[in-house]
Amino acid sequence: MRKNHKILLISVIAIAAFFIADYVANWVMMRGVERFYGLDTKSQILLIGHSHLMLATDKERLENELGLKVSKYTREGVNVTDRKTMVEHFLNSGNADSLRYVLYGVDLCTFTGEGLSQNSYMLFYPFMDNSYVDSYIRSQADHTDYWLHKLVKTTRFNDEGLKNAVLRGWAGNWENFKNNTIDIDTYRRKLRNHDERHIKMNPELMAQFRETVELLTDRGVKVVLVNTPTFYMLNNYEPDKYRRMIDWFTEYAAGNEMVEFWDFNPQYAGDFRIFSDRLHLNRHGQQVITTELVNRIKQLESENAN
Amino acid sequence: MFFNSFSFVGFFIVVLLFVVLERLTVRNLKVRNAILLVASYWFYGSFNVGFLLILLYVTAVNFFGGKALFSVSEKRGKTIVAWCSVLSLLPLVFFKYALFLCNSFAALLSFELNTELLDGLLLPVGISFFTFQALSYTIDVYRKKITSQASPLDFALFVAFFPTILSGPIEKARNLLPQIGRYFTPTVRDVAQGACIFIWGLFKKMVIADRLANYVDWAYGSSQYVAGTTLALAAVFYSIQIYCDFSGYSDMALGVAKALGFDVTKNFRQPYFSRTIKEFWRKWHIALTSWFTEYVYFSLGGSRVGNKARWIFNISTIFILSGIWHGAAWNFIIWGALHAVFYLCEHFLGLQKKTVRWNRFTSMLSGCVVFMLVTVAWIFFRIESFGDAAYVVTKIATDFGGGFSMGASSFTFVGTCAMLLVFLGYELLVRRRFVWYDVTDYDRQLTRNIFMSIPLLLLMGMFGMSSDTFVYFQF
Repeated sequence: MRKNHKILLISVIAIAAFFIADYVANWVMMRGVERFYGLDTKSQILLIGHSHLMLATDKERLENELGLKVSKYTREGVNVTDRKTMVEHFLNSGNADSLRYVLYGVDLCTFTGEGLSQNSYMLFYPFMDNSYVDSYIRSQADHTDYWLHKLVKTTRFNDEGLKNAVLRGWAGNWENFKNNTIDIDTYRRKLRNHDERHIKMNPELMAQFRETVELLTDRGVKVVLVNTPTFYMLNNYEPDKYRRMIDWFTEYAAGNEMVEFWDFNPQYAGDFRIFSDRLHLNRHGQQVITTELVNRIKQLESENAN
Repeated sequence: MFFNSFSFVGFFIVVLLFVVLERLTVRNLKVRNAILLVASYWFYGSFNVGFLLILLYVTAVNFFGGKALFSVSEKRGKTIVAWCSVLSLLPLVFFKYALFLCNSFAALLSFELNTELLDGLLLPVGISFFTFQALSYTIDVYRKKITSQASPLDFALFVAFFPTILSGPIEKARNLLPQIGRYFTPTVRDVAQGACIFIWGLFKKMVIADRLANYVDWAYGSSQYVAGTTLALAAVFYSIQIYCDFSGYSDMALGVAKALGFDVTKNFRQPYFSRTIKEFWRKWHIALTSWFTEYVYFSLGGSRVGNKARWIFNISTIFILSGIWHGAAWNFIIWGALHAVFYLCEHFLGLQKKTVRWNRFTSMLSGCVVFMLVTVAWIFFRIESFGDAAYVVTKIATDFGGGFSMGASSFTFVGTCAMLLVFLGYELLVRRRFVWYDVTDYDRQLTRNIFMSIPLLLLMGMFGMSSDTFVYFQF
């Protein structure tokens, strides 16, 4: 009997130790992730997009050469719906007063997607101590999932991108580690096997996109739709659909004075040296595009000053 | 309702509460067993209520077979046990092998067969496990290893016992039935130790097996595009994946049973630390190996046969049967045959002899060779088509130039490697008995086990993946 009481006591102590460790781990990871995404900074520029934009932009160079604070809120695989939530999250973070420009990453697959993602809310678990995010997740997740993540905080970081963000946030490292160049032969073989995504224009995603842009322009924030380069063979895979997609963005920006569309494909899509793969830029490509962005934002600044 | 789901945790807590409540009020063996039987049928029925009919059929055949065996002569007993085996194996053969047999005969006789009906058959989950478990009773009764007849309630619980019904361990009647027939209730120590074993199994499944599965699926899925080194790494990862998947499940089963106060067979004893193939098979899927050894190998005469050729036949039969047990496909048969070849080669080289002196270097060298051989065999186990498997093996052996790829995400790959290191660290702690994920003799280690479970839980929260299947569920 005494042995059982001892084990019971040890178990209670272990459970308490578990929750303390969980709390401390969450605190450490949260600081890292906020720093990496710039969610703890009153920024003038916000970058929103997925890995395409993430690898194409050098946050530190942008900040140094423009003299503006940059929040790089880019996450792997986020679709248009996720990006809308990301924008809303940033606007509700208490750091949005100083925001002037949003660089929103677009590409040929922006509106490709089978309906709206059902699990997007999972990307925002780490931020569920924020009341806006908490109510959003509560409305989306089932009770078990919600309460598990509410009670055991470390489970909120069960995403590779987030753990990467934690480490890099603490290290103050926003580098692009991709030093390779695209393997054209392998990619050509993939295309020959028709092993490539098809371009689609999903109306639901297009509506979400418009709502996101309006959310920003209504606040007087300039939205720049940035199409960082994608490899020419990918763009030529379905040339008609690709053209239609680019025309759509061009027309959309032309119809709204608070929106611009910067397409870097005509100039860079054929330069294999800047690509790590068909969609992502390598370190060299990142510097090339960052130089372009710095010049264009400086131009925007001077236009605004006039 | 899988072990790695919240619905199972909820289910188990309710069952445990009922068992404790029974202890506080009724204190009756029949009531306790009835609670566990209802829970077991509920658990099994949660996959498909129709499968319960097959479970009841196998239970009935073996119960009445066993009953008959107690009252007949040895000569008639042989006939009864043969009939029981045939009748018990009928559903297994029909659901698991009918399509394969039809297709194989059709191919052999060169005629076309319409197998539309058989294509739609659902394999009842756990059928290979509970059929073998039930048969162990009948055979043990025939061999007079069980001397007292089990009550219908006890026997039904033995066959359907929910911790072991889906993927084993295949319990022998003489181990589990006496525990079912004895009245006890789980203590706090049982529950704590069961929880620790369960957490260790869950960690192996969610953090190691499911993460490695992503890389393995990706690498084998794009075998045309990746280099031989990547495929070699995928093969090694698959060896670890299948070990963590199945031993993870077995540990969870062990933990659940322990938390209810039952001791079931430990199915894995760190098989990849083996120096010989023989030793590997003593530590891998122990319950199945022991079942085949006792009920098939010994029946064939075992090693006490007149000539070497007969013994080679016996050994080969066991390994090929073991392959067939896993599934109705040629790749499993090839896998079994490969192991038979390895085993026999090792035997003729004399490596399994007790006179062989092992030092640290030869142990490590031999361990690496065993791991490599087992890994090659797993390629044929994992890839259904012989042509594809041969392509992978050839590419591994010839294409070392391309460098290896980290898969879809290099960070995920690094994370997986970090988790592998944690896993290896824990395996070494288990090997040195600093922690003890076994069911008995754990008193001294229990406090350590409890505190060593905390990092596992935290890592599961951060790195675990939730897969809704186990590799061995298909068998």
